[in-house]
Amino acid sequence: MNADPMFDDAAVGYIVADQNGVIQRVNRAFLSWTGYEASELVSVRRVQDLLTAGSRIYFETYVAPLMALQVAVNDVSLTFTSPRDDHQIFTHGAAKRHGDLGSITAEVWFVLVNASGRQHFESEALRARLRLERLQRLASALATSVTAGDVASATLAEILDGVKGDHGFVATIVNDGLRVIQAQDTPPVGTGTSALLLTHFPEIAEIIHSGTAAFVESRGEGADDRLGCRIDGVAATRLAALPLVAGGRADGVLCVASVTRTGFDADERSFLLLFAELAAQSLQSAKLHDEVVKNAQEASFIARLSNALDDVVSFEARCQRLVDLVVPELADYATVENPNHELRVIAVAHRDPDLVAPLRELRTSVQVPGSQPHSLARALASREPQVLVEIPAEMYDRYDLGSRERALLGELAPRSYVGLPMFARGELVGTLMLVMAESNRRFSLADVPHLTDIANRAAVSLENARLYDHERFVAGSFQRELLGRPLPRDDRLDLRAIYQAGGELVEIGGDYFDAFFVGPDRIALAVGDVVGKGIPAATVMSQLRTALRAFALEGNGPAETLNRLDGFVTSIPGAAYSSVAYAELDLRTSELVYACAGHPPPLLITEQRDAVVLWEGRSPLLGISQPLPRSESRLRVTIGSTLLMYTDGLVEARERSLDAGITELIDVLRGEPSIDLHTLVAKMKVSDMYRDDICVLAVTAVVPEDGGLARSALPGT
Amino acid sequence: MTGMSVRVRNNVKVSGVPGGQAMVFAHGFGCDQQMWRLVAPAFEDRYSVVLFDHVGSGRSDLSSYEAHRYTNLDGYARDVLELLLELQLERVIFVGHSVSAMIGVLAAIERPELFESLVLVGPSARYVDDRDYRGGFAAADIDELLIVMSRNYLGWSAAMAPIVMGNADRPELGEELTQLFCANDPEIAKHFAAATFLADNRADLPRCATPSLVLQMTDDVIAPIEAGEYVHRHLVNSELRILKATGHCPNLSAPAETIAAMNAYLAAGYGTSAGSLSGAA
Repeated sequence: MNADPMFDDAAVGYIVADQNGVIQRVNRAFLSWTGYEASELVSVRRVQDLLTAGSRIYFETYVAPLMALQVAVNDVSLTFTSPRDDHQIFTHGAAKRHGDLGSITAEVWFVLVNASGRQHFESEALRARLRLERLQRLASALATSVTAGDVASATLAEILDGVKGDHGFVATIVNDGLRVIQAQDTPPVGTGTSALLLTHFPEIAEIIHSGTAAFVESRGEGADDRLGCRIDGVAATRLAALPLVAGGRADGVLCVASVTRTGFDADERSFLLLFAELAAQSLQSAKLHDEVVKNAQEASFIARLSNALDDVVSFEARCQRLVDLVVPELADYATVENPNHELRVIAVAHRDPDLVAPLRELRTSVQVPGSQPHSLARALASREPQVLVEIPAEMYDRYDLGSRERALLGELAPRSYVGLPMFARGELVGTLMLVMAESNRRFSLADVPHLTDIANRAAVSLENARLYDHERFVAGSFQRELLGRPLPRDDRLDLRAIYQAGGELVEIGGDYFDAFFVGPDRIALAVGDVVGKGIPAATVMSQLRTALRAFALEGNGPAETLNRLDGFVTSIPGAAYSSVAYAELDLRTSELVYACAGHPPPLLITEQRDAVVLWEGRSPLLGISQPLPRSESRLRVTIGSTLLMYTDGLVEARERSLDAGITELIDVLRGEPSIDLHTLVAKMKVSDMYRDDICVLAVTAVVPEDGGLARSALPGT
Repeated sequence: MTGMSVRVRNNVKVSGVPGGQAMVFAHGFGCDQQMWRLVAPAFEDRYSVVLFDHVGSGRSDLSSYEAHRYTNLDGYARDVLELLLELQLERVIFVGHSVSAMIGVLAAIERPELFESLVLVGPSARYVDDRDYRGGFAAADIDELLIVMSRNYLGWSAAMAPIVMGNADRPELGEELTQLFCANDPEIAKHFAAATFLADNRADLPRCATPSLVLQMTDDVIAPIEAGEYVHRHLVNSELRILKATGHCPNLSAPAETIAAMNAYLAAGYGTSAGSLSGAA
């Protein structure tokens, strides 16, 4: 082809290629830009071979198909590489096909303008646009991020993508430790950031405190190996550690590492600093939010704990409630132990039900060493919580453990530990041990205040239960002792009594009964109820019972006996307002004399099961009617009739009035072939943790073997 | 999918023998169904020819593009299956160019009964080199592609906006649009580029038992010969045929050779069933 100055000497680059892209002609401008000789190109190279890889893909997937489909393509940017010094030539141009597609003579003409001068500006504009897009994406992601975890994960996603990082994490300072909020690792390198953090923590802490970002390369000229590290065995080639500074305070760090690319250029550095700043601000408000949420959750936990503990009464039940509540929410397994308690290991809980028994076995068999290195011993000695964020594997070597204990320990696999002594009123109530195992969670120092609150709250509740258990035990034994004495025996009488303690939430009450002979043929019967509960009520009850016996034995008869008791109760604290039903039955005349001081009326049940409510002989409660003489009433009972005296616990309940209770009692008695007190109580009893004590005394007049009511011998009392 | 029919979403065009066995052509990254304009007509006398645009390409419904669905090739494979189901096609011959070759493989793994055979034009299971594997590119090359695409699209919005927005009073713009081949939305195109060139479907190949023809071009800068051989080696039931055609688009640069290679393969028994079993829509 002859020289054509318009082609050869033009300021634009010309290339003529065949339909496959093989160069047929090329002008001087293109050759001088790229540094090729014409002979290196013509009939040898294709246009696409001269392009950078990115441009080559674009050429093959866009330009070539368009050339085939529509003859001409305008407005194309292509980047060529120079074979001499590898520099790039940015061109802008157009291409046109001459000749039919598929024809052997078809040619494609390229006209290219060297746009390298503009390229820098264009690249900057493009980069700025991409940066802006990324910034907008991050800003909108941060705007919808509520938790610190959301903020960290949105930031890491954009940053790792933006600088082509392989690993990244965001961590904050919690107490004196660093806590990873979010880590992101790109396969196939795996999950190495935690290891990175742990092995390089001192340097990272320094960076946070200095508030100055560090960009480190571990390879190449001038490499700074301060952070030269390996991530899952692969050497990190570069690492950026960016302190997260908000409000003038650095309280976290964002780290990005790569395992292939080297160095951060100025652009990447400014990008990272900008994004770290943006993240730090969002992180600060997210952390405030997280804290509010955490505080609310902790307060709610304490409230739930209080309710759950107070719901049961005994010490051991409350200990079990405590461990059941903290597992699995706060620990994988937990125990309450007390070296002074008879059980020592009082309650255990494990998130895996199969491991409850091994846990109990281990804790029961292992003697807590009294030595200082043992954290439980330390907790007891110092009265301070003990935390082992990471239990060292060799820790147990210091203890004298048998093979069985080692096997159990292996099964339980404790990883992280908190031991909390529980003291109340200066007394050790027990230790709460919390352990993380299979869930791979770890305790941190930040958890301690909340866990201490829990231990303190539980300690008060457990101590109350312990005292309550104790008092209930003492009052119970007192009452059993008093009421357990044998009743007088006489063949003209069938005398029975029953006492049943109240519901588990009710302390031992002051119900009592008594039966004794006041004369050879005269039996005295009493059922009473002292105001108050527990040991004080039991004491009053015993005094009142003794006084009643004394006054009755003087032969005062029911009304006068009650009158005298009135005088007596004013001298005994806590005795006023007691109620009592008192009756004397003459076994010779069958006359019954009775009086009731504020007490439910006795019942007289005939052999035919007709019931009479003994509403006569009534007067107010003891201690409030001294000026008034007490009244009494008398009636004759027939052989086979039963006198039933009882305390209000039998007939009254929260959902049942006295009248309704008495009606129900009469109904129950009518349906029974014999008057069995256990059956009676069982049928009348409400199932209620708050139900009152029940005391019932029944006396039936029977025909004695000698055929008459006459009686000469005094029964042994 | 909900609402819109696949026909509209993927701009489906059906021609050829009504009710005949379906030959479904899928375009690759960069263009649209126009890529097949020199090849597809050659099969219209024997097959029901189905052409479509991937969502985000050509005249597909751009509003159906959901970034999360199309972050990898699985979303595109699901679209292909939805297309076959809506058109009630079975035992189809699926012809996939470039990235659509792998899309076809993924779809055939999922619902093998819908595919009689696959024709894979310039396939590559992974474009980026990985240790001993040669895909032809480095990760940085794909970064550069995205920049080159951005640079080439700087003027795109200005040119396309009035057309995309529709101008009923300027009918000449409609005319212009038909001339704008491969006019893809630049943002979607960049996502598609990432989904395509960062994909690694090597582990999927052995899971596909559908008879396949691998058409490998001479000197293809997108899918080098090693990539084609790799696909052939790991597809249990495949046949490799090297075309004399150079470049990545033999469907445009060498349609006759492409058609001949396909016919030879189909004549060998990989596309001779008598029409779609369920009857074409």
